[in-house]
This record gives sequence, structure tokens and C-alpha cells, in this order.
Amino acid sequence: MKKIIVLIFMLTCLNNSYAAKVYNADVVVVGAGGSGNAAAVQAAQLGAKVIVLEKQAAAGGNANFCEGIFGADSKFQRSQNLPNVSKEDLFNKIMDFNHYKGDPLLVSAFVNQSADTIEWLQSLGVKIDGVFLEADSRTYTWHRFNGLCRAMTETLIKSYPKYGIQLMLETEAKDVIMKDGKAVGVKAFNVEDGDIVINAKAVIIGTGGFVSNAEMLKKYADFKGPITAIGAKNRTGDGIRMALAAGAKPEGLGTVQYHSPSPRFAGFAGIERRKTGFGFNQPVLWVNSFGKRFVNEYEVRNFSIAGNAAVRQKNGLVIKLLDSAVIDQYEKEGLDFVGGVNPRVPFTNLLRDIEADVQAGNVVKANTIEDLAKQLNKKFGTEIDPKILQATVDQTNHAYDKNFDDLFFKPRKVLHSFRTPPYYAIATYPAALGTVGGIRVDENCQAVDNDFHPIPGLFVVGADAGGMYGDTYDIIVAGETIGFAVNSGRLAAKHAVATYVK
Amino acid sequence: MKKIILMIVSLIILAFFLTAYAEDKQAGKITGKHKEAGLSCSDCHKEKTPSARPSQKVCRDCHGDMTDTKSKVYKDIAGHEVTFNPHYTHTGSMRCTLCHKMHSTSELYCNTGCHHKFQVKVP
Ligand SMILES: Cc1cc2nc3c(=O)[nH]c(=O)nc-3n(C[C@H](O)[C@H](O)[C@H](O)COP(=O)(O)OP(=O)(O)OC[C@H]3O[C@@H](n4cnc5c(N)ncnc54)[C@H](O)[C@@H]3O)c2cc1C
Ligand code: HEC
Ligand code: HEC
Ligand code: HEC
Repeated sequence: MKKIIVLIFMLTCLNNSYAAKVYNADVVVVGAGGSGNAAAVQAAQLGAKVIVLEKQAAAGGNANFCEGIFGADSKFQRSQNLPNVSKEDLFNKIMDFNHYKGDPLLVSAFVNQSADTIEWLQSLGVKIDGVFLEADSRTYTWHRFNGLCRAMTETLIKSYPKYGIQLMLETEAKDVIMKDGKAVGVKAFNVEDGDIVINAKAVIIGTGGFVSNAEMLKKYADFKGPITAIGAKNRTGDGIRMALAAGAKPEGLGTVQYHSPSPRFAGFAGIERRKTGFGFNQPVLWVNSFGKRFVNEYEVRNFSIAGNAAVRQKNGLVIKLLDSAVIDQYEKEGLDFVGGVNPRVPFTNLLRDIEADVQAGNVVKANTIEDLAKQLNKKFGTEIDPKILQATVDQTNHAYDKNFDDLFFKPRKVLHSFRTPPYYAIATYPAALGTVGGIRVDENCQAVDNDFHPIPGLFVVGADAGGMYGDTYDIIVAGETIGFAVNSGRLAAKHAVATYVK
Repeated sequence: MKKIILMIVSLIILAFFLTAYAEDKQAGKITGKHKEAGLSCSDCHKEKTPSARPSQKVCRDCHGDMTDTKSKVYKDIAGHEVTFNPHYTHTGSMRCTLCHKMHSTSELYCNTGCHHKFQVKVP
């Protein structure tokens, strides 16, 4: 008897779980991040009924972390009279950097729409403080949000009710529903409702790439060891997988947005984090597993380039070194490289924090170069010959004394000697802000198939799309990732509504 | 064949629910304001003997979406003042039960799910 009851119960369970809840929309957007939120609002403004699916409990994705957005020939740039920021200048700069490994139609659409996008954001209530030079190698394209990108996300999300956009959190998209070669919806899983189906006339995918997916990184990235992801959690490449399964052609899958190599112990966003990480991420002296310099350390300000240099080294291991004189200088005068638009202020208590990390076993401390090499070899598995490290240190000191680095031509203003013990060293490893390639799209951000034909109803935006970059994120044009996210979202939304909804 | 597998799976799931229920039976107490207000189990669980966590829809049916609540000044662990409304932030309208636990201590999802250290008491 009991068994029969159980059986009946099970069957009812089965029936229930099979009746997936169905929603209908004109446009379904996958991912409520930088690209998805822009796509949703733009599509709804043009009259579409929009449903947004977000896997996380909280919306925003990486657009909760960024600060400023790209613009070419914007009102801000004009009123600030900034040089080299015409559409022509920036189109050429981007195409030069990617040497036509990027798609000129897509880049052109992006550059041409970017100033309008800034005004569009303003019309929604997003505030911009002005254009800043984010580091001295960059271009004046970084339009900094008042309240950073988080404020932009907040403004977009809060406009959802006004536009009738339905945001479904804790809802993981699983598959694009294809019918007769067209994308007609998405299958998803909601934490409370289980399996759901969203039928739609167009699908816009913006799930932020795959930097948290170790397997995909191993498959596509040039560096095959572990890569620490900085930023939002759970960027597992879902959108790219879904689009590939729907027949889309891949493009730029290996383009990792490397960051300056980072210590593994610290994580990045921890508020209570000690100053050690920043203190070492400076253009002082970086050596590889063999005790040799391998980069103009001032590339630290161009993180994707510093990252490229690092991942070429054995195990991606980079030892960053400070001597006591430079620590003292940083404490008194501030760091060489600050980042963002933060002012250069005395970096007090750096030594205290470094010493705390010596105690915690994160930092190596030594009084002689020989002991330094010995300790590093023992602790981090480097193979540093003390004589080679000594020669590297000699070259550094020589460059400082002559005020000229004849090895990598590091700028004079950041030359330092390395003579004052105790010496401190930290091991750093490859890290990335994200991946910035995935699916081949046309200039409307519509996915194309392996025959280069657009797939009806399927759009891929933001970090899931390929075509903006070559093999390296073009850091010299600041604000380009969130810029591409927002602009690609708008491009896709406009085309999706015009072609499949109206 | 497929059906048999499904049956086995559902059996396992069922067994899981039954044990979970047995363990939580005592934990399933109504506390605080809900007790004062005289709520019963079925007000949230919509079933005579609660066997699964209810949907947040039940919270919203009584409380609304809370989007009309006001921002307040809170402090983080470092003493910095931050002004926000826990029910209306940049993250969208989050599931009520991420923060409000009905049978255990509530927590601020901003702290547990992210890196924040806001000092906020969650009822
Ligand atoms: C620390 C940091 C600082 C940055 N600073 C800048 C800056 O100053 N300027 C700049 O230009 N760029 C910056 N960026 C990069 C920028 O934030 C990103 O490029 C941008 O947010 C990418 O937008 P996106 O929509 O492609 O992805 P995201 O914003 O990451 O959004 C993707 C969303 O999709 C969701 N998702 C994933 N899978 C699924 C699924 N299966 N179903 C449903 N949802 C799913 C994710 O949870 C996420 O919310 C920064 C990034 C970081 C990490
Ligand atoms: C105000 C709404 C509310 C009331 C009233 C309520 N519950 Fe709950 N119950 C919840 C929520 C929400 C959960 C999910 C866990 C949590 O938030 O603590 C839950 C979880 C449970 C669970 C665990 C289910 C699982 O599978 O995880 C049991 C058992 C339970 N409740 C029993 C009861 C009983 C018995 C009563 C009456 C004495 C009761 N609940 C009254 C909201 C309520
Ligand atoms: C049947 C209606 C009802 C349901 C369902 C319900 N509540 Fe309540 N809730 C109340 C009432 C009534 C109060 C007391 C209001 C007051 O005192 O102002 C209350 C108070 C609260 C409080 C304030 C507690 C305090 O100590 O200040 C919170 C938080 C809360 N509810 C959250 C929830 C959550 C989360 C859910 C869903 C799991 C839920 N409620 C479901 C009616 C309900
Ligand atoms: C991010 C965490 C978080 C989420 C999600 C959340 N709350 Fe709250 N809630 C809080 C905090 C914190 C307070 C206390 C606010 C304060 O400082 O007074 C609170 C207070 C309350 C109160 C009592 C005080 C009041 O303003 O009336 C109710 C009722 C309540 N929440 C209901 C809900 C409901 C319903 C939901 C889902 C729609 C929800 N909450 C979602 C964090 C949250």
C-alpha cells in the first residue's frame, strides 16, 4: 500500500516537473550584465516586450566593477578639447592595434555609435563626471561614471519597470531553442520554478565570456596553467556554448583580457586586503623563473600587455621585487603607478603590511641577493642562479645610475636602484579580468554560421562576441570593454527589433 | 528505459525530501513579527505539512516588492558610511529569502554573496 502511494506521488512529481513554465516575449536577453542591460532597455524603448535572464542572485555582472566607458568625439571630449579622439583617430587606432584581426565593420559601428551611446545613457539618468586619462599610455576616451559603472547598472535596472522589462534572477539559460534554423527562444532553469521556457522572436546572448571556466581556458587560451579570474563570479562560457550549439561560428576565443600578474594569496576585491599587492605591482624589478628581466616593468599600466609578457614565462611565474629604499620612497611620496584616476598620495604603512605578509609566509625577505635567490627557489620552485640574479640587479642599478635602461628602455621617471636591504619579493601568476572573444558576429552583432550567413534571431554581444580585438585586449583605448558591451547590446537590440519584432 | 531512470531519480529526490523534512521539523518555527502577527505554516508553505521551502512569491504577496522603501545610512566594518536601500539596489530585486531566513538567522546577501562588509541587522 505504502509503495503505491509513493509511486503515485512520484508520478505526480514527474508530471509537474515536465510541465515547464512557459513565458512569451519579443526579445529574450541572456545575462543582466553590461551588454544585456543595455540591450534590454534599448529593445524595450523600441517597443519590444523583453525578458532578461540572469544566472546570479544579483544583476550587473562585471558592470558592477568597471569605472569608465569609451566614447569617440563625444560632447564631453569636445568641451574638454581633447586631442586624438575623433572617430577617424580612434577607428584607426583600434584597427592598427588589432592589425585587422578585428572586424572593421563591427569596429566602425562601435566607434560611430559610441558618442550617441553616452548621450543615450545620460537620457536615462546616468551621470558622467568627464573624460579622464586612465594611465599615461592611454587615449582620452575614458568617460568616467559618477558612482562608477555600478551606478549605470543601477539606473538601467531601475528603469526596467518603466519599460515593462521582466528581470528573472537566479535563472540560468541552458539552450537556445532553434526551429527551422531560427532562434525562437531559450530554455532555462529558475531556482524556484525549475525548468522554464521563454519563447521569443529574437535571442540576445551576453553572458560575459568564460574566464571562470578552467576547461575552456585550457582549451582556448595561450597560457595553459591556472589563470586567476578577477571580477564577477561564474563566467562559465554558457552563452558561447549555447551559441556554438545553435550553429554559430567561433571567433577570437583565445583572447584573454590578461591582467598584470597577481599574487594568488590576496584575491582582488577584499576590502581588508593589505597594501602588499599594490605595493609590489609597481615598475621596480620583475624577474622570471631564471632571475631575468623580461619586460619594461612600466607596462604594468597596460595590464593586458604586462599580462602577455608574463604568460610567456615559465609557469607564468613572475617574481616582483622591492628593496627597502623604494618602499620608503613609496611610503613618503606615493606609488609610481596608481591606476584609475586616484591621486598619487603617500602610500603609508606599506612596510608594515609587507612585514605582515612576510610573517604570513606570502613574501620572501632577505638581506643578500644570494639568500634571496635561495629562498625563492625553495619557496616558489624558481631556478634562479644567484649570479644571474646579481647580474640583473647590477643592470638595474646601472640603468638607474646612468638614468637610462638600455635593456628595455623603461622610462626615466620610474627607474629605481636595488641596493638597500632587506629585499622583499613576491610571487605572482597569470590573472585575467575576463575573456573578450567567442562568437563571430556581423556589424549588427548578429551571430553568423560557419557559412558566414547571419543566424536568424540570434545575437551575441559583449564579452561573448568576437571581432573587436585581435589576440590582445587593446588597453591603450580606455573603456573599450564596457563600451563594447553597452554598444553591442544597443546594436543588437536595434537590429533585432527592426528585423524580427516589428 | 528513460522513464525507469526518471522514477529512480524521483525516488531518490523523494527520500531526500523526507529526511530533510524530518530534520527540520523542529526548526520550522514561526518567529518574531510573523508570530506576533499570528501567521501559520500554511501562510507561507501553502501545504498542510511543509515539505519544501516556499517561493518568495508568498513574501511578495503580503509585503509587495518593497521597492518603495527608503535608503538608510549604514556603516561598513571600516567605519565608512554608505547609503543604500537593501530592497532597491543596483542588483535588481533579489529573492527575499536570500537575506531573510524564516527559520534561522537572517544574513545580508551583499556580505555573504559578495565582498562587502556592511554592518546591517537583517530582521
Ligand atoms: C574589476 C574590473 C574592472 C573593469 N573596469 C573596466 C573599465 O573601467 N572600463 C571598461 O571598459 N571595462 C572594464 N571592465 C570590463 C567590463 O566590466 C566588462 O567588459 C563588461 O561588464 C562586459 O559586459 P558583458 O555584458 O559582456 O558581461 P558581464 O557584465 O559580465 O555580464 C554577463 C552576465 O551574464 C550572466 N550569465 C552568465 N551565464 C548566464 C546564463 N547561463 N544565464 C543567464 N545569465 C548568465 C552573468 O552572471 C553576468 O551577470 C572591468 C572589469 C572588471 C572585472
Ligand atoms: C513567513 C513564512 C514562513 C512561515 C510562516 C513558515 N515557514 Fe517554513 N520556510 C520558510 C522559508 C522561506 C523556508 C526556507 C528556509 C529559510 O528561509 O529559513 C522555509 C523552510 C521550511 C522547511 C524546510 C524545507 C526544506 O526542504 O528546506 C520546513 C520543514 C519548514 N519551513 C516548516 C515550517 C513549519 C512547520 C512552519 C509552521 C510552524 C513554517 N515552516 C512556517 C517560510 C516560512
Ligand atoms: C500572510 C502574510 C505574510 C507572509 C506570507 C509573509 N509575511 Fe512577513 N510579515 C507579515 C506581517 C503581518 C509582519 C509584521 C508587520 C509589522 O509588524 O509591521 C511581517 C513582518 C516581516 C518582517 C519584519 C520582521 C521584523 O522583525 O521586523 C520581515 C523581514 C518579513 N516579514 C519578511 C518576510 C519574508 C521574507 C517572507 C517570505 C518568506 C514573508 N515575510 C512572508 C506578513 C507576512
Ligand atoms: C539584500 C538583502 C535583503 C533582501 C534580498 C530583502 N531584504 Fe528585507 N530587509 C533587509 C534589511 C537589511 C532590512 C532591515 C532594514 C533596516 O535597516 O531597517 C530589511 C527589512 C525588511 C522588512 C522590515 C522593515 C521594513 O522596511 O518594513 C521587511 C518587511 C522586509 N525586509 C521584507 C522583504 C521582502 C518581502 C523581500 C523580498 C521582496 C526582502 N525583504 C528582500 C534586507 C533584505
